[in-house]
Amino acid sequence: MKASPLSWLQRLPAAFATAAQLLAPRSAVCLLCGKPHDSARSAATAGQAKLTFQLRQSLCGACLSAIPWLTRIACSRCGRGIPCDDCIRSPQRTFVCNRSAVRYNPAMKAMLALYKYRGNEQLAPLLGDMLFPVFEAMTAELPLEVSTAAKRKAAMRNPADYWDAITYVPVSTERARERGFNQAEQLASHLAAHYRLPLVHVLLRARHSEKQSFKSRSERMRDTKALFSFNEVGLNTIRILSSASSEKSHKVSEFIRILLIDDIYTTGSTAEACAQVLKQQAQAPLEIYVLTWARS
Amino acid sequence: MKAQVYIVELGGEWEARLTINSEVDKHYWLVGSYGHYGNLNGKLAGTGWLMKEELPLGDACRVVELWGTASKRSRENEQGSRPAYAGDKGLLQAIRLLLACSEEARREAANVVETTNQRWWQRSGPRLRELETSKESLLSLGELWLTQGHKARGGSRREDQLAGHMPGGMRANREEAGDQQFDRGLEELAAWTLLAADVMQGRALLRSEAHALLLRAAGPGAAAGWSGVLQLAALLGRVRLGGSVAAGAGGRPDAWRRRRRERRCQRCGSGEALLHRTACAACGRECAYCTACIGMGRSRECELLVTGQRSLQVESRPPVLQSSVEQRLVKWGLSPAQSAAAAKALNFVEEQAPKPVQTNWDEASVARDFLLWAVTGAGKTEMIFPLVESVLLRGGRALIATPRRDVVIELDPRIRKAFPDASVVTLYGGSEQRWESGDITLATTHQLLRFYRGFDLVIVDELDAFPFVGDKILHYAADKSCAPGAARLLLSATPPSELQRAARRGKLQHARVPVRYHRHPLPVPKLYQTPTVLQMLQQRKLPVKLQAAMLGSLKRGAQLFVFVQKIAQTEPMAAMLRNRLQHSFVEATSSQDAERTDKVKRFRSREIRVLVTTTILERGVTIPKSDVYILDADGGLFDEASLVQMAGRAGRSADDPFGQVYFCSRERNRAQLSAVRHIQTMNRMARKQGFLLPTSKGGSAK
Repeated sequence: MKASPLSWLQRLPAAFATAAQLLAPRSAVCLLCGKPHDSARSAATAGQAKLTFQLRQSLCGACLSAIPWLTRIACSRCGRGIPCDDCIRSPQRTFVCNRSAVRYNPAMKAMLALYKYRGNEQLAPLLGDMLFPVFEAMTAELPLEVSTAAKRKAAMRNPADYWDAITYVPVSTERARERGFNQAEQLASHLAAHYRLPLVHVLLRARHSEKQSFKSRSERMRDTKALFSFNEVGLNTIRILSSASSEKSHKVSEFIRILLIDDIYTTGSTAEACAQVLKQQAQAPLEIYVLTWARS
Repeated sequence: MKAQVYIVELGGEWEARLTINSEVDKHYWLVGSYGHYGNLNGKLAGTGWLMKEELPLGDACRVVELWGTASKRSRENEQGSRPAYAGDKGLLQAIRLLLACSEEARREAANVVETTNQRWWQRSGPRLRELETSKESLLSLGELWLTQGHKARGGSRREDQLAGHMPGGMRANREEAGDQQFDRGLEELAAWTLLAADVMQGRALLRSEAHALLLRAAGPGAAAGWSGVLQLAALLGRVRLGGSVAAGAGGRPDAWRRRRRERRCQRCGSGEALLHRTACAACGRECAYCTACIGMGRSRECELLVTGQRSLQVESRPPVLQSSVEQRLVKWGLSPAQSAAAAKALNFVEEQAPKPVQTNWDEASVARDFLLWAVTGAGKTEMIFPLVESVLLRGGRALIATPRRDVVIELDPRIRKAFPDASVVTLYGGSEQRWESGDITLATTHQLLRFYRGFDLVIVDELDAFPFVGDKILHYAADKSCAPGAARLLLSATPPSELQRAARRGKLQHARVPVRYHRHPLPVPKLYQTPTVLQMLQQRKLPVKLQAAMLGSLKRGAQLFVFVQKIAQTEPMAAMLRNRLQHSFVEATSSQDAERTDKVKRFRSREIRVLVTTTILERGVTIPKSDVYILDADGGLFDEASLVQMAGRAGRSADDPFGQVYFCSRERNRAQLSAVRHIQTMNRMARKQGFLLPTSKGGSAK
């Protein structure tokens, strides 16, 4: 890839942001457990190159090493670490596949609860950072037209070339008002800002449903039908993207590749419902991938 | 959440107010009667105007504040010769000022830098200038309220919409249901409001907490109509509604404009450094939340904080004290040292009984502090009983707060036994009595965040213990929970040095109790030179002297506390002791041990004879016959206070007052020497004041 002046300029903001991070005040205590940092222990985990600077600064060594990264995937469809009943039961999915950053164990459950229910939004950038490694792995996994090692390396370098847009699972207005934020939107915008991808606000939650976490499996499956709708602005954005996508160098397919973000993937019914609405309404060929923070 | 602002005309003067349920305000100002509760509003308004636009809660509060300063300023300028704005002219002028206030509040929230020299109330702003021409367009921004006989203009649709938020019967359409049902709805609302105002007295609650309290105290109907109930209570002056994070009044007058209005968490007092700003879907703008007290629910700029005013009847009740201090002390059966200190404290508490003064919400309430410096095992709890009784007799409320949850739970049965007729509420994280009110409240210091000037006597136990020591939030909470003029009693065996100094210099009233309730001197620690714990563990050797002392303790039938510095050393040390002492009843525990409570229980019942532990057990545990071994006593984690506390575990019961205490370390350091000196000073003082038992009765001449 040639280093044009323009690309240098594009890198500048990122460089400044990194430099500013070095100067940024950081809390002396771990954001999760509240214990003071042990600098020696933090240094020990510095070897984990895939973790961002911010992540290593904000969490203590013990909390960092307790993160159950989902690196070995058993179900290529839903990204679970163990073989998966749901994907055997209903093999037809509207989205291509799901990948998750971590396994949803009690520690991660506590972390998500701290962020989502307690409302500690300081954790948002951390959860967002945790998506980076899995996003890059997912990009490398994409079926490329020329699957040489060199091409794969290029994909690692700039994943932005392989994706057209990022969107997220919406929450209802009532929930947004109560909680003050949409966790999926925050994660999506964090990811989009980091890789400089367009974030599109296409989906709306049409009706207010009970919290998913209080429902059984079959209830979830039933309730997510007709839960989402599409907004007109989003439709236009997708159209513009479809005309723009043909110009991208690394792609040959005529599909618009969209990444759908959510905080947690349990049965996949939410992701499925969103993907269906997107596909039906978009009036353009879509290829939908799902990226979630945790896989239960 | 969002709120609305409106203006009402009261006797020719316009007043701006904030509302979270405008329908309630409209009825209050224009009609004011609530069925058989009669007229709750003594000062009906002639006209009112409600701004249609909903503002973020913080902005709405600021609008009302700005209105106050602006109208004060205009009153000063006119110096009494106020033209009475009659009719439309006055209304339009007031509307214009309200709009200017809301513009200014918006500007402040967005941090717009001043560009003109014009003051904001003189400048009408681009949005207002174009409206100035037409009266109709100005009025169309809101809803006009007129007294009965007039029909409200242009507000009927809004009314229907708002009726949806009304509790109970008010939800019904007025025309169809008729007046009767409407009146019943009003009565219901008034009943709930009066009940809610009572239970909220002296509390500071977030919206969700207020909702839970309403549900508990007044049932689901009141909880569903929470906004109406809270709004009416606010109109009656019983509660105050405001943002949970807001800029307080005051600040440095010479500071920059922006700095002058620095935001604070109104619940825990944290400043800007601990606030985190995010985009908020609830109010539609950037909104700060407090990261410091997030464990107790999220306090943010657009979150409602409901503060309940204590009604004055409680405070103004005359003291009903028939008997003298001495007579009242007798029935508690205190030792001479205890009674002397309790009498001093009691005089302090009673010398300035809370005055029935109308207090301002924002006026800083200064608590009167009294330090009760009592050695470990002095019987502090018994000493506070007469003080609590005194406050209860005068119709006040008492609070006993302590940093540790275990201590709260342990104290509960003792307080209930001492005051069988009083209602006792015990509060800690996950307590079931969370929404109850009582004469005596027992709480962890964290729970104090949920109170505001609620108590006439506040007793802070173990004030030098973690997490209270060095935690600004908890200190703020402890200050805030005192009613104005209330007495606050600080209890400690090892007060922080600032307090000790203040007491010595006479700046802080205090009483010292230098002797234990059994009137024997405190055991003086013996200093042993030993290798460090690390060396002992590595070489698998227990120093001979130490081993002999431990065997001696076991032989005399004592329980052994063995304190070490690190959690990681507890288990290996226990294993080694099990081996060296040839004794299987050795266990280790620490803060990370899930079975801690169980092990302490077994230690108490003598199933475990030797307990290896960390500072976690330095206080609050009373084991009848015990000896204390502090290993690595020269380590950084053990300071004077902590050494004195650990030494205080020995010899606590009257049956075995002469426990042994050993400081084992490689070096003697200042902490050890001053701890020994501290204990010796207390013993000397006790002997001088004649509190020790005479030698002939089994006392010691040591």
